[in-house]
This record gives sequence, C-alpha cells and structure tokens, in this order.
Amino acid sequence: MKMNSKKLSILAFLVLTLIPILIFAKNATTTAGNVLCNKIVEIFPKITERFTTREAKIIEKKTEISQKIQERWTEQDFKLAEKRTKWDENRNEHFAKLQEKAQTDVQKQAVLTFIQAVNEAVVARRLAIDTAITNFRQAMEQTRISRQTAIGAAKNTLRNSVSTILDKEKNECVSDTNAVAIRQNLKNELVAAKEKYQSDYQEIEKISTTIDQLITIRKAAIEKAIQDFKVAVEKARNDFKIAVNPTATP
Amino acid sequence: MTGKNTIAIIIVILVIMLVPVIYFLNKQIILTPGVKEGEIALPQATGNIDDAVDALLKEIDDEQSALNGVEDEKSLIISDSQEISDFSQSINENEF
Repeated sequence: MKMNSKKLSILAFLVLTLIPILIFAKNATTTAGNVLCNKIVEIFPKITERFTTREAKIIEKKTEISQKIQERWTEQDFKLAEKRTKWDENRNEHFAKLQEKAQTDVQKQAVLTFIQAVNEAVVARRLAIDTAITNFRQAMEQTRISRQTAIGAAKNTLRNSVSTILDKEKNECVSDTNAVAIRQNLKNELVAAKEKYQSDYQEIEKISTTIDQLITIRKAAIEKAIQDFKVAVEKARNDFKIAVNPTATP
Repeated sequence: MTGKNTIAIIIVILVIMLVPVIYFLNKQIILTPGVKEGEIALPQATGNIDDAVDALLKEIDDEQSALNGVEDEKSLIISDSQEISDFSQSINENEF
C-alpha cells in the first residue's frame, strides 16, 4: 500500500511537471509557425514589388534596343542610298566620256553594249544586296520577338512558382507545427524556382548562335552579289575590248 | 662660326614652319575636297574602259563600307541580358 502510494506520487509529479513543459513546447512551435506565417505575409508583397521594378527595367531596355535597331537600320539605308546616288552620277560620267571618245559605229555600239551590261549588273547586284539585307532584318526581328516571348514566359513561370510556393507554405505554417521544416522547405523551393529561371535564361541566350548564323547567311549573300557583279563587269570589259579590237587578246 | 649658327637656326625655323604646312597639304590631297574621311574618292572619268571598270570596283568597296558593322546588331539585341538575368534576384530565400 505504501509502495503504491509512492508510485502514484511519482506519477503525479511527472504529470504535473510534464504538462506545462508540453504546453510550453506546443506554444513555442505555434509561435515559430506564426512568425513564419507573418514573414511570408510581410515579404510576399516586397518580392512582388521587386519583380515589378526589375520588369520595368527590362521593358525600358527592350524599348531602347528596339529604337536603336530601327535608328541603325534607317541610318544604314540612308547612307546606302546616298552612296548609290553618288556612284550613279559618277558611272554616268564615265559612260558619257566613253561615248564621247567612241568614233566609229563599232566603237559606239561596243560602248552601248558595255553600258547596258554594266547597268544590268548594277541592278542585279543592288537587288541581291537589298534582298540579303531585308531577309536578314526580318529574321533578326523574328529572332528578337521570339527571344522576348521566351523571356516573358520565363518571368511568368518564376512569378507563378513563387506565388504558389508562398501560398502553400503560408497555409502549412498555420496548420503544421514544424516551423523549422516548413522554413527549410520554403527556402529549397524558392532556390529551385530561381535555378529553373536561370536555366530558362541560359536556354534563351542560345539565340546568339542563331544570330551568328543569320550574319553568316547575310555576308555570304552579299559576297555572292559582289562576286557576280565583278564577273559580269569583267565580261563586259572583255566583250568591249574584243568588239573594238577583234585581233587583240583581252 | 656665327654665320653658320645663324644659317642653322634659320633652317630649323623653316623646318618647324614647313612641317605643319606639308602635313596640311598632304591631308588635302588624301581627302580630296568634298570627300569625307573614310570615304572613297570618286574617280575622274577619262573615257578609258579600264578606268571605267576600276571606278565600278571602287563603287563596290564604297557600298560595302555602308554594310559593315552587322556584328554590332547582335551585341545590341542581347544588350539586355544583365537585366533579364537579374530578374530572379527579386527573390532572397534567406529573408525567411
């Protein structure tokens, strides 16, 4: 009987001691959960605000790039047109002098044939160059737009991921008592979302290779136009020389 | 001796005066009136077929100079890379 009473006393002591400890521990975890919940509520708008600020910078830069490209192309077209006009005049002066020096009908006809061949070669060269420029610009514009679309998608994915993660963890921190685990999970998920964005970004930047290819195509097309022109002009010169002096070797 | 020194001084002064004049004249010859720096001067028409063809070849060189610098367009298009990359910096997981 004495023994039982002693056991009961120990049990009662343990119960009375442990209950407050357990209550305290429960409250402590709940408080940690509340702190995390409050943190999420407090920081979420800050992240949204930062997204908006950085988004504005991206849009500003995008507009600047678009303007600069248009300015560049306009300037290039102007310079090209200016040069062409200047050289048209000079070519006509050369043609006039050739006609002036031609004495016989054969020489006059040779000059006319030369002029016609050169004019056709000039038109063909300019058309080929203009086509190369237009094709290049259209492809560049499409590439630029595709890049912007891909960037927009990557940004939206990141925004949505962050929103989903924070919503989920906010709900969990209210119901779950393990604040430490929730916090760690939250951090891991945010890091994963950032890494996904960086991976998307790296993929988008592979556009450099596409642009390099477009540049190569443009250069090759212009080079071909120039080579074709040189061949045509050389032929015109040889034809002229043969016509005015059939016995001479060109 | 004094006479020789005087002549030497006069020669030095003349050289100093002539250097900028020669430089200026040289630049005028290279540029040719009406031709901007970096541009190809228009060849004079002579009535010779070879000169006419040479002029056509110079025409191509000059036209090509207006088509250069296409690589800059690539740099321009991707010049927002930093801003795009920094977008994810909006999140700092250590804030929680």
